[in-house]
Amino acid sequence: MNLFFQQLVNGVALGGVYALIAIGFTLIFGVLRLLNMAHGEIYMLGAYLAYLFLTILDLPPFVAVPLALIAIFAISLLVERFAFRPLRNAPHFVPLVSTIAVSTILLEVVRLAFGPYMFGFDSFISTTFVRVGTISIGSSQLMMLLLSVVLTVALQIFLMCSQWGKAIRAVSEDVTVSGLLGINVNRVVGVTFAIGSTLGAVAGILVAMHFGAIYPNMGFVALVKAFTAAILGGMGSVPGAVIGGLMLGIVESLGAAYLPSGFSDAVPYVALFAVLLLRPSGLFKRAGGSDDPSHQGNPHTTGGLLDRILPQRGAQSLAAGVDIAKLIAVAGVVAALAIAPFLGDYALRILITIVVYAMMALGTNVILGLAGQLSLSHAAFFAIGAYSSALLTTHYGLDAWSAMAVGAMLAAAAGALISLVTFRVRGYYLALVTLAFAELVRIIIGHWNSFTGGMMGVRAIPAPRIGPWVIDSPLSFFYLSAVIGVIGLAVYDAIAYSVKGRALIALRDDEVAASASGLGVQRLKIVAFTLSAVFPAIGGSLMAHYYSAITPDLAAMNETVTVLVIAVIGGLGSAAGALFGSVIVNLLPELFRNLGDYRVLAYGVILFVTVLYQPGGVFSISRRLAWRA
Amino acid sequence: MLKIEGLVTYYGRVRALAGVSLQVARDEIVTLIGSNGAGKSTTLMTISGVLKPTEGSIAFEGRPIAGLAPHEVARLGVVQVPEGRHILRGLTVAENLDLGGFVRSAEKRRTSLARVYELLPRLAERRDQLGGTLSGGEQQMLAIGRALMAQPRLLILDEPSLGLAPRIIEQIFELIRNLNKAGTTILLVEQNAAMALEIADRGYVLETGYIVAEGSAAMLRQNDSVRRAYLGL
Amino acid sequence: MADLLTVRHVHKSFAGLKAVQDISLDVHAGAVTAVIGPNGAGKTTLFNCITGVTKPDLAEITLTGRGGARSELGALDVERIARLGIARTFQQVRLFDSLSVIDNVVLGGFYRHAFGWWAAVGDRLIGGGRRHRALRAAAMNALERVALTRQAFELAGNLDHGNRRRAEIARALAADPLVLLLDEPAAGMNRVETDQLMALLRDLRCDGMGIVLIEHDMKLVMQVSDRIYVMDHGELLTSGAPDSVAVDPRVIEAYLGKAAASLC
Repeated sequence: MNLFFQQLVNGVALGGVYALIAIGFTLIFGVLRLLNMAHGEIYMLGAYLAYLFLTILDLPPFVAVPLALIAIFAISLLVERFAFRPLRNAPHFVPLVSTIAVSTILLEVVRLAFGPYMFGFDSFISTTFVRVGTISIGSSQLMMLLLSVVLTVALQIFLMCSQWGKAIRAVSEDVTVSGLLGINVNRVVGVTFAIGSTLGAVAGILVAMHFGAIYPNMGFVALVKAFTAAILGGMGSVPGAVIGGLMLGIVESLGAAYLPSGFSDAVPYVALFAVLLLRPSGLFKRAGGSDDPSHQGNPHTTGGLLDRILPQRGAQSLAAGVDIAKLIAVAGVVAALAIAPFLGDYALRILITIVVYAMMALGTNVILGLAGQLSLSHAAFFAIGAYSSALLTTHYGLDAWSAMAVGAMLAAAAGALISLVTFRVRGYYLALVTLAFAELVRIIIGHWNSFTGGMMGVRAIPAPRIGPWVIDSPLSFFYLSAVIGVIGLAVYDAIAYSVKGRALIALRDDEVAASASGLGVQRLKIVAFTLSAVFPAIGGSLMAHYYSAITPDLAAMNETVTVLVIAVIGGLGSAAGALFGSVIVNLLPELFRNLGDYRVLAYGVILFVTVLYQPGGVFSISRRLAWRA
Repeated sequence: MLKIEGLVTYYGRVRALAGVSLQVARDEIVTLIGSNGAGKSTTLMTISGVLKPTEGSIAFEGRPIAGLAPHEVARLGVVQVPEGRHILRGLTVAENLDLGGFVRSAEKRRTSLARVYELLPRLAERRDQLGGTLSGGEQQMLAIGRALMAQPRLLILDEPSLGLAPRIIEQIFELIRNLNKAGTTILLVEQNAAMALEIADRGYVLETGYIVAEGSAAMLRQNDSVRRAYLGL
Repeated sequence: MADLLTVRHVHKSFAGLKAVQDISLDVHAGAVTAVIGPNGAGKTTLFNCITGVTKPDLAEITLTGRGGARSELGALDVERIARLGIARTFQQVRLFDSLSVIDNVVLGGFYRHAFGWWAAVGDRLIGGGRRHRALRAAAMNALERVALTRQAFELAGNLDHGNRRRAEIARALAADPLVLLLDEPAAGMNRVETDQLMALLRDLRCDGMGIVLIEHDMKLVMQVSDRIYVMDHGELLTSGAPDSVAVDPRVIEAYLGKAAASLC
């Protein structure tokens, strides 16, 4: 019982901080209708800046902390101005990809400036404990609780009573009317974004103090928690975010006490799924409230989902012409096959990686490029494919081909399962649900030591055989993956240009019109999710056999981001684009070898620039839209 | 007061306005009539800066305003009550009104608020209710009251009669007439062409992005093609 | 004239606002049934209730299908209703903007073909696209009816207003529907286009299709309709042949206001 109350107290303190992160997240969602994937990095950056000013520059806390917060305020104003404002009227996944780019850039900048390791963060208040009966409360916990209460109340007063607060509420309800009333919408959005970010940074500093450590990746966990808490309380509602944060903190603390170690990390994800499936509008939102995640505010901005993604006018003139991209792709594949025997092992490894990632990007193309569903579970399907191959061949003696088939089927089943979520949530919500699913898969794989080998992964995965031949040399493996890759590209292309692929596009363009035309919308979605899982699973299976050892990192968030980058750079929806994107993303780091550690940063910047200036992808000009004859 | 010349606006990829020219003089009520999809709302949204014209000019009191942001246009005194009213449903009546005078000093807001409550006593009764709980007629009153809080020099009304009972429509039109008498210039878009021509000084008829007829309200009422197409006679 | 669609006692409220109250109407094969009334009268909501886009609070809507089978539509979802032979257009045109016009039309009639994933992908991958060509040829017929074959390979999103309306009608026609619901098809069309639309509606009526028309263009309504229903504030004001509705003073007052009544 004592443990229970102690954990309850810990949970409330932790929950207060979660509430702060969630409030910032939910505020930003309110005015921008955008899930800010960079919110976690802002939180992390807040802690790092505080560390910079406190420890490195040795400033007194009452100077250092405000300085860090002012810096965060300024940085977020810039981020909003340059990364999000230009994309305000773009289809929703474009700004979302932009937030992913910003998140990558911030993360890499911190990693480069401070190193990837954990730093001790010295609390600037004395660590003492208050004892109440047998329960002890640390000074940092007290401070967390106090600050989160004060800031929440202050924010609520600001929103309800001040002229600015009213303007913020007006903008989150109706952008058009706010402008007509004389409110400078851009300024309100910018300031709200900065306020939300600063609240996140405060939380980052508090958490750093409490746990006495900071590390670059601390942001992602915070992001998932912010999202979970915000969803629990009903997206867009500040009091809801507070209650959601507290609940999450309590559940998690109790989980840590009573669940096997490691699995308590899964609690927020499980909570997230449960809420989204049972009460997608949050636990407290009144029925009939406006919980439409789409931006109902501005009916006068230009409509089509793909206005920016598909370069319409260019595409039209080429509709009946030659598909240049496809020709280049075929020529490239032939060239690669021809020169492969003369390449060294290292170059072959890059080529194989290109094939693997192209397969993954095909999955993204099906679900996002055709069906318009922003699903971010690809790393999970990738890992399911890889682990099925690994475990079935090592533990159960299956041959590589059967293992690959089983892996593809398991991934397909998982994809179909996720598609059921889409009947409850869509758009922004779907993005994070699917991301959380990937994270859940990673946690399970990483902690199920007896079955998956835990963090150590699986080793000694045998090479595939064709009849008497063992495909274990880099060259033969390249030819094998090239064959599979070409089949994958051809199948994807057939899907995209078949009437079923067109039906998926129809679904993306206008779901109501699609169902009023008699198209089975739900079945189409299930098949799209199922198909989108098969491609990455086969890629993962190839990967496992090639490296002969795998770890749970396959399911990590950055794999999904990489695939998204590939699909977007190459041009969403196009088979050749998936290949080009994969070539660019895998070759660029080689070209930038002298950039050394700056490579991932370069990725982030490239993604950012692509989304902002060439959202149709590098090769989008060669896209065809009509059926070929 | 307002002078529009050769306005071309694309709505998405569709050309919604194909060269619209019109003028509103001080103290007039000018009405813009036409069927659904003719481009009436697009014209208003272009004036207010929500949509950007690709060609043409808009001048308000001699000052070009095409391309300004909506809040900049509003601050010059061109205030629009959009179609469908667009009440901020989660804010109270008083907060809605208060936001109408967003750019003005607290003191001026107070005087305007007193005036609006006097003009529309219903709103005073309901000042603490959420905007979303009002009836359609009350919401229209609130939308107009909110626009009045900005002390508009040109008040733009987009289909104020939409979905309202005849009795309420009469009240709204009465209100518009009184506002005009008190010195507010009005640009009125209406589907209810007969009523609009009844209170307007002049009118323009818009059809698929073009102005096809214009003149005094009395003249338009007698115009055969207008009678057939918009008055159903 | 056979009874095709009988709509009885449709009720629908949105947050206390009674959008449609106790509306009943009959749609006959080979006839044009018009629904008129001022903006906000509930006409589009009625369409949405019939096609399942909005669930009515209360309604008995019965379709007599091919071969006399009767189906109650109230409990069905949008796609099922569409598959029974009810096609529609929307007040704000809803095309699949990133597809070509012909692909839009193909998808409009696609549900009638038993054409699964394996067949579709297989036809593209190894079948040389034969079955796809057949689909497209069928779609061309629908485009011919609305005189849009020249724009078949343009992106739907690039069409001008009048052509968008026509493409949407072609998509609905591709389903070979029993009942066609048109929501303000002439809105945004010029006079020439409206006249072509009128000719098309007469053709379709001769083919035996049941057409329901929401329209503000009185000239069009008066010339093509067999029966007119007048709605106001969610209620049915009156119904009858065009001649009788046109002179009904209640209609003129509700539809156009007192002012117009005095103008007569």
